[in-house]
Amino acid sequence: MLVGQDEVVDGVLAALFAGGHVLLEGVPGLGKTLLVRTLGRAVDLAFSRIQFTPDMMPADIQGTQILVETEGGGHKLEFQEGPLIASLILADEINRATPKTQSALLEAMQEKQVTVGRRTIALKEPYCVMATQNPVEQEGTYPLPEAQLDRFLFKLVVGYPMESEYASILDRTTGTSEEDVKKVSNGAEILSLRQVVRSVPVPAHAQTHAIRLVMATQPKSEYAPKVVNDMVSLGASPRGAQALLLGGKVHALLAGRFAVAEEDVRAVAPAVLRHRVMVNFRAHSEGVTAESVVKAVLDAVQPSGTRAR
Amino acid sequence: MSAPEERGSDAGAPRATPGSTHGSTADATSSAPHGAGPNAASRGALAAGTAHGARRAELETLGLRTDRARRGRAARLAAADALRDAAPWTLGIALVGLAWALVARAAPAWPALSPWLVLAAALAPIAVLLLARVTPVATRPLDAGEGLSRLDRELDLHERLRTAWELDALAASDPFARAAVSEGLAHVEHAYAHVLRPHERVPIARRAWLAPVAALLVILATAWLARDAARTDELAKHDGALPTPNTPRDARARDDAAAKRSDPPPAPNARDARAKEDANPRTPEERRAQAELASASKESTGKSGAGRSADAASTSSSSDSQGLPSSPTKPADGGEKPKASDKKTKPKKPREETAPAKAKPPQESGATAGRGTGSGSSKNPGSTDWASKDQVSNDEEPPLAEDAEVDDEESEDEARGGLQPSLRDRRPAVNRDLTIGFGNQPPPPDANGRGGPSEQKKSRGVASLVLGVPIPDHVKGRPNPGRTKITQERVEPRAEDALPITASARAPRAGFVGPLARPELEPWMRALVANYFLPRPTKKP
Repeated sequence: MLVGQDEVVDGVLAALFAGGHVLLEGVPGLGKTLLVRTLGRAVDLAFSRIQFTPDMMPADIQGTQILVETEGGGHKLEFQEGPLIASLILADEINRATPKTQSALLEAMQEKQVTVGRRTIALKEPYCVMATQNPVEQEGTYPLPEAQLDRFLFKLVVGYPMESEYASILDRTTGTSEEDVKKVSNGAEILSLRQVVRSVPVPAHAQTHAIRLVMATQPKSEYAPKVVNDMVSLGASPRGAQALLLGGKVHALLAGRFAVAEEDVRAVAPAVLRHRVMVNFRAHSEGVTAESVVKAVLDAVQPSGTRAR
Repeated sequence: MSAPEERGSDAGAPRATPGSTHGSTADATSSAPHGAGPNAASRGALAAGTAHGARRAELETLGLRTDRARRGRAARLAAADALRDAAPWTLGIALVGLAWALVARAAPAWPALSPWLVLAAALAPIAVLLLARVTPVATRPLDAGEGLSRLDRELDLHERLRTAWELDALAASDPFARAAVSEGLAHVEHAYAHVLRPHERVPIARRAWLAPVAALLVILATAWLARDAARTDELAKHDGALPTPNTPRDARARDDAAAKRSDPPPAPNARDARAKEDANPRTPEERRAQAELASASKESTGKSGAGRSADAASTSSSSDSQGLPSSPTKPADGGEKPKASDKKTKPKKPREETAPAKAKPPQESGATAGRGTGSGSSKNPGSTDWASKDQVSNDEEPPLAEDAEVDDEESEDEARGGLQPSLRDRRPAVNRDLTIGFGNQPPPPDANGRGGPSEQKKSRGVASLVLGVPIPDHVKGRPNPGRTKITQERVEPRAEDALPITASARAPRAGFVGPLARPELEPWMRALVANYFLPRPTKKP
């Protein structure tokens, strides 16, 4: 169904197996929605899609009590679940909603439950939110709050396809043939895979490397390079270190190893840290992005065995 | 958190000793019943555990060996860096030593440097930098983890060796950890066979060797110069005659000595006799000292007679004073040199013992200038007309070479830090000649009976503070408005270019539009107007 974007597909699957949420960012027309929708069809999970709009309210996604007519002609209040109550959520163009509505996802993403009035609804595992957003520079977008950004395990940047991929895209989308997606997994299997992922051991040197990478994104820390001290206003939190190790475990398994190595941590570091680093005004004025800051951090914190002396 | 790479293997790291059992082997042995002998399964497990422990010990040894090699390479890199950075300093010091040796060769008064001293000074930067850079690297404690990481990187093992080493030390029992340990141990033999890649050898650029080699050559040249000078001195010390002029210095010294011997004794008095004696030394040491002094006093011989220097003769014509040297750098009388040098060898400071000929000329010049009697320069304030009138010119006056006065001058110079005496001390004394003319002799041009010309008198005391001219502090009467300047210019009127304004550009009228109000005139005014206008048409031009 999806042509190219291998890294994005791997990242989405890694987040699904690691038990995290994914934020996909890219300009319209790159297949973000298609990717998540296809994933929802490939796994046997309760899938729902929320198309965020500026006039959407929290009750529209969480659910609300509505007045229904009973058989005897009477009326009663009945709770109508919102689209947030499912297993695999596609939050399409999440940054087109107001921060008020965006914040309605906080509880569901972190605590896996939804509270409406006096009613608290526990969400079924596996629960995964895959949100897409347009770049914040576009018109009619509201940047996500830092608290909500931190709840996404990965932020994957969807780029333009390669030249060789265009032909395949055009053939598949402009013809009459329709791709059939088969279900290859289900919720129970995903939960067992999550247990496997969490069983992967982490050697001390890899854990130390993850900690140093996170600390290097924090201004005035021991490992922070100069660009972090100058350009970063907010670094990654301990949740970032958790995400590094979880992502590293999935990466190690996908690489055919039994333990996490430093290279696994470094491989997932851009996807884990790029939305957890908040650059300041000076960085905006000089064109320094969080992506370049993360790259500088990776250059500053070298893995073991690479020191010249 | 104690990171594994931060603890050395030599320290008390939680490492199992070689041959100990861990992991699956430990589980297998612990499952055997107590008191019963090892059955076949446990024996096999024990044997496997022993092999496992041996391989793990090999893993640690492998890491230590790699880190040792890495440390040695880092030390060589540091040494290469130190050599490269210290080479310019070494070359510079060697060049300074060579320049010093050349100067000492040209000027005998210049103290010669030992080539060993130059060598030691040139090698000092290398030694310091080597010590500062190589020592911290070479004394770094070995770390098996770092070595295994390096080896993993060399063999593209994706940290399997280090992971196995760490997880095995933790005795992790989960299947993933055991699998990781086994996977790492499987690569031990392959890693042992690995040798560090050839490109890991320390690259030292050829340019880095240029400066030390050049410095070595310069030091050798310095040593050759110093050896040559030492040989010359030794020959001069042992031979009775002057040495063969194999060097320019020896040739010049020999020429100067020969010129002094060929000079006729012109001075009939005792001083000239003593100078003659000094010019013809008896012993070789005296000859050599004489030759050096002759080379130092370049122009004194043969240009001025009777002990007057050329400088003194050229500058003392106006004042007719004695031609003692006015230049502080050149001695006036070469005949007095040995005596002066003998005098200068007495003083207390060893600095003057090392270079008596060098310290002599400024001292002699200062002595003459300070007394104001023998200055040959017309620039000297003491050599003005009035000063010359008071001074008695006497060619017969013996030179001022008394011991006590010389000592005073020495102490005065020392008190001034060896600097030139202050010019204020050279100011001429005020003339006390109170004559206004006597007999037929015309009075001096400035004679007024109050002494000679002196500096302008300055009033002192309260009188100097009283103003001689009263200054009004207020003005009576009306303040003057000042002059009024009126400038009239006759300028022809000029026409200005102005574009006609279009009707559409005109603004609408802002004032009142409509019939004008006709004011009611007073009777007397109406009569006045009538009287003015009504007769006019009747008037004829």
